Amino acid sequence: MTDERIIAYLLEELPEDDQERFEDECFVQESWPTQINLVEEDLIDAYLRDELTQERRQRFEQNYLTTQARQERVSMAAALLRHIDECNAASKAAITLSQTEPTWADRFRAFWSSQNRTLQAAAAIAVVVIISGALWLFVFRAPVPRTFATLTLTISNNDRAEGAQAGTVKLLPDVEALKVSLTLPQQSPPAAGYRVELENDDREIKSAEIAGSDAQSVQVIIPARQLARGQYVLKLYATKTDGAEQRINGSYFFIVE
Amino acid sequence: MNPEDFARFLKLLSPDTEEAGRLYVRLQKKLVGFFSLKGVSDPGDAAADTIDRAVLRIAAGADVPDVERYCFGIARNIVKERSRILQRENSAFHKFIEDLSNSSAGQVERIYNILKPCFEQLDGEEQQLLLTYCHEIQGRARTEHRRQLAETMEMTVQTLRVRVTRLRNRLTECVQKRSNTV
Repeated sequence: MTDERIIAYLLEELPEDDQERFEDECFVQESWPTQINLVEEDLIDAYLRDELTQERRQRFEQNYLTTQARQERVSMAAALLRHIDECNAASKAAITLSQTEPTWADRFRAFWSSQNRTLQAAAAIAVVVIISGALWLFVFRAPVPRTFATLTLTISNNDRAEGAQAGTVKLLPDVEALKVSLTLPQQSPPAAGYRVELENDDREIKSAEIAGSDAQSVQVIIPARQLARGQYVLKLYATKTDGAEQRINGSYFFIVE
Repeated sequence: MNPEDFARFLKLLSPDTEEAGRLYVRLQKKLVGFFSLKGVSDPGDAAADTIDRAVLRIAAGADVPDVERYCFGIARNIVKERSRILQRENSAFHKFIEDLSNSSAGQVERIYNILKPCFEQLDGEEQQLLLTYCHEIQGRARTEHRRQLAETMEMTVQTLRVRVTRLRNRLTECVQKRSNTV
């Protein structure tokens, strides 16, 4: 069963006998072939991206888009591709912006031509490693949240079971992350850095991303998808200038409603 | 449905109860696959309708040497019945195509707004996979793009496609759920 034959079936390009034979072939298999869904998805994308020939485009509209379910499938794909194109365009704009420094190419060429072959080889390897790393980061890094709910918490020495005072927050659907400002205790020692642990009701612990810190507070960002309804505890650790880590006594509590 | 009639139907699938159960589930899934392929809105209901009709006809004395094929024949008839109804009701179809060429088409706009929070619910890697895989690349370059992406992710192109389809299905389910609550 080739992709082309599946497309021909979906667009009703096959003679009626072949259409039925195709269905029979699907039905006699142990399970319904997943290949069909994959090809159907590609076909819809190709239609939306205007990649079909004029004839196939017509057949798609006349022979495929004939049921409500298929129209909904196409609408869903259209919405997804629009979202993807917008996200990719935003990334591309950011990359283009960073490439507007014209002197880099000149500097690179000048540097390159002044080096011997061994150094050129070493530099080439280094460039490949750096570009691969950057690409990996670009492709697989988590997206940066843009909409936040905010919360300011003070430390409590109570245990959660003893009913400590907890901040509450409601995460609306359009909120991408919760930004929490942890007010440092009065006598907290100076620290070179901080680490924060997020613990949920089931005592599962994750590390929270530090967005910044100053003499009075530490700010953390927690993606909304990590926060179901329930009670959470944040535990703060200070890294001293000698590298040693020390837990700051007490915890920060909050409830997601 | 009469339980005795249904038991007779299962027995025709296989005299062994356990095997009959397995074949029943397999048949049901195939019927759902077939109705989805034909663009039926409620493939699960259509599959149940197919099996109901088969059970009743067998109870009425129909001679059925191959239950699966028999059910498949009924399923084809159900599709024909529904497409006849659709042809009568399909005046809105051309409007849909006209709308689709307009980027602010109502239905797409509505889904787009619901889709965004659904997309954000995917984890970072899943989002990036969709952004990379569905990036607008045409023709043969796309095939190469997918091959390279699969290689980077240490999987076959087929596995990659299945993974992307599953993500898209999850998004569709999320949009459908949110549509029902909005």
